[in-house]
Amino acid sequence: MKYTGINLIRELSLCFGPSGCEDAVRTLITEQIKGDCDRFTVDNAGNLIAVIRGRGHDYDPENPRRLMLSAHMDEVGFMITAITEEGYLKFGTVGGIDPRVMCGRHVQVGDDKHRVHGVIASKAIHLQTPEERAKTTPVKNMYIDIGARDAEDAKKYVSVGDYVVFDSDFVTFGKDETRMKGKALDDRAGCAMLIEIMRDLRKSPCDLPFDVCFAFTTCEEVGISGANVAAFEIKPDTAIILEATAVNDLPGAGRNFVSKQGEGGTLSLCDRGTIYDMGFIDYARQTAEENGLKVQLKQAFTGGTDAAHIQRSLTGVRVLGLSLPTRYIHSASNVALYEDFEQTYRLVVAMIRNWKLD
Amino acid sequence: MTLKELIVSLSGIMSVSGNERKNREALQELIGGVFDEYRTDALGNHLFIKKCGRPNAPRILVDTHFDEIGMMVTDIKEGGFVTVTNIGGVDTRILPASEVIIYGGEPVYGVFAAKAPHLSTAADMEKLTPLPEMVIDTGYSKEELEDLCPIGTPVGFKPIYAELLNERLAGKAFDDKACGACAVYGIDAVQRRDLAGDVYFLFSAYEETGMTGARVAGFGIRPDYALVLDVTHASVPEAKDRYLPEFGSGVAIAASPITNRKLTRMVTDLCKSGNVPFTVDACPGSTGTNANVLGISAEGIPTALCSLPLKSMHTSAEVLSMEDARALSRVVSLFIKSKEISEVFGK
Repeated sequence: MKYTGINLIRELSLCFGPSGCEDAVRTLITEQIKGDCDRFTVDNAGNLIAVIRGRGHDYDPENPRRLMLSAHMDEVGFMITAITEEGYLKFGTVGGIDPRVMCGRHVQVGDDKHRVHGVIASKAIHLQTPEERAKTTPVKNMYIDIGARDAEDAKKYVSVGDYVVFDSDFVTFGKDETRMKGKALDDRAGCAMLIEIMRDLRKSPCDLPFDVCFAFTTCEEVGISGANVAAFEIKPDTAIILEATAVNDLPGAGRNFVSKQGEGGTLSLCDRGTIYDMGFIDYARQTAEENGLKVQLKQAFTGGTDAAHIQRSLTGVRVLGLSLPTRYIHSASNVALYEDFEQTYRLVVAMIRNWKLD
Repeated sequence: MTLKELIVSLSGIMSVSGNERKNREALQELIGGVFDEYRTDALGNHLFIKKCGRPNAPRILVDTHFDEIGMMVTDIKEGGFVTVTNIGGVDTRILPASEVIIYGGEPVYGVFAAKAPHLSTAADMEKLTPLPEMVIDTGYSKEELEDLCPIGTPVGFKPIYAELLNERLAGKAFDDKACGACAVYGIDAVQRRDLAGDVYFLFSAYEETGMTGARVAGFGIRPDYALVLDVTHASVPEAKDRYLPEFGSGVAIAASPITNRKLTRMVTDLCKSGNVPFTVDACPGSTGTNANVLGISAEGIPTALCSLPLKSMHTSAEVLSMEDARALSRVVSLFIKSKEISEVFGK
C-alpha cells in the first residue's frame, strides 16, 4: 500500500513559515481543511483551531469533553540582523540550528509574500587557514549573499528583521521511492497528519465521546509556544502532540539510535519539558497491537515539544507525544519514510475511533 | 542558447576528475556545432578545433578545464549508507545535510547525514566531521547499492542553480565549466575569416587533481600561444587582507612568473582598446591553474591567464556574476582575432 497524500506533505514542506511568520502555512492549511471540520478559528497567537464535534450516547453536548490534537506550523530558520556595507546579510537563528548544516545552503529571504533567493556564503577552502579547516565556521562569521552590489542595493529588496528559511525542494527517493526529503518536515509532517486524521473522521463518521480539536500552532521552535494559548482556548482533557522527532539510526550510532525508521511512530516517555502520561502510552501501544500498526518508544530524553505547555495548562491535561522518526531535522534535508507517516497517523485514528483511555 | 543557459548546462554535466570521458555525447551536443573538428586523447582531454581556412595558420590554444571536484564511493554500509573520499579539494563544511547524486548504473539520489542539534553538544557543533566519517543516506539496501554503485563510483553535488540579484548565479562546478561556456561563446562570436589562426579549444581533464590533462594536451597540440581561462577567488569580507579581485569588476588578468609578460601585456591592451572591464590579479607564486603546466609544456608555450572572479569556490553554491562572464567571453573573441598577437607569437 503506497501513501497517496504525497502532494499534501510536499506543499506543506515547501511553504514559507519560520516561527512568528506562519501566515502562508495557515492559509494553506485553512484551504485544505475548511470543508472537513465543523468550525475553525484563528486566535490572537496565530494558532488555527478546527473542531469536529462529538456525537453518540457517550457525548454530552452541554458539557463536552475535548481531545486536542496538536502540531506546530512553524519551522526553524534565520532572521536578518544587519546588512553590511558590501550588501551581505548577517543573521541569527530562529530556533535551534546546528552551524554545521548552514554553509553552502540555498535560502529564501523575506516574508510570506515577498522573497529573494540567497546562499549562505563560506570562505573558500583554499583561503582557510589549517585551524579554520578543522573547525565549524561560527554563525557570527557567516553571511547571506543575495547578489546585491552594496548595502543600498540590498536594502531595496530586504530589511533587518526579514526572515530566512532553507530553500530545499521536496524529493521522493530510495528503493521504490519510499522516502521523502524536504525542509520543515518538523513539523509540517505533523500538520499533514492532523489533516489526514480530520479527513478520515469526516469520510467515515463514527460516534465520538468528545469534540476533537485540531490545533495548528505557532512559535514552537523558539520555545514560546502558541500552544499555551491554544490549550487555554480549547480546554482539553487529553492531548496528543504530533511531531517529527530526531533519529540517529546511522552506522556507528550503536545504542544511541534514539529510534528507528521503518518501525512506525515514536512514543515519547520523557523529554526536557515533559514526563508523558504512562497510561496514555500504554493505551497507544495496546491500540497499535490490536490494529497491527507499528509503534516504538523514543530511547532518548532530549528535545521537547508543545506537550510541556499543554500538560500544565488550566487544571492539567493528560498528554501523549507521538512523532514521525525523521533524520536530519532542523536542516535543509529532513528525511522520513512515507510508511512511518501512515503508521503514525493511522494509530491516532484507531485510538480515536475506539476510545478506551482509562 | 544564451551564455547564461550554456553556463548552467555545461556546469550541470557530471565531470568529476577521472570521469571526463563519460558524458562526451552530452558535451558534443552542447558545443560541437561551434567547431569543425573534435579529438580526444589518452587521458580523456576534449579538443574542439575551429579552422580559419588558411594553410599553415598559427595555432591558438584556448584552455579551460572540464573536470570538477567531487567524490568517489569508498564503502557501502548496512542500512543503505555510502562513504566517500574526495576527488580534488572538496570543502567538507558544506556537506552535512547536502544533496548528492551517486553516478552509478542509474543515478542514485542521496543526502549527507547530519546529526540533529537535539542530539549534539555545543562542543560537537564546533568540530567538523572528517569526510571519511561522513555517510550518505540513499534509501537502498547494502546489496542493492553494491550492484547499483559499487566502490569507485563517482559522486557529485546535486546540480541546483539559482539566479540572485543583478544576474549573479549560484550553483556547482562553475569552476571551470562557466569559463568553458565563456570560451565557446567567445569563439562562436567570431567569423571564420576574422580568426587570427586555427583555434584549438581544449576542455582539459584532471586539472583539479594536478593539471595533468593540459600538460599532455599542450605537448600534443603544440600551439603557438595559449590563453588559459579559470576561476579566481573574488574578494570576500573574510579575506579582505588578500587583496583579491572585486566581484563584478570584469576579467582578472593574471600577472605571474609563469605567464608570458609580453602576451599578458597584449591581452591587457586588448581589454583597454575593446572596453572590456578588467583588473590585474597578482599571483606572485603559482597560479594554481593550467597556465603552470602549459607554460613549460614541450618547447614552452607563451601563455596568458584570464580569470573569472568566483565566490565560495569548490562548494555546491559557487557564485559568479554574468557581467564578469560576458567580459571574459569578449576577451576570448578579441584574443583569437588579434593580428597583433599572431604577428608576434605566430610562426
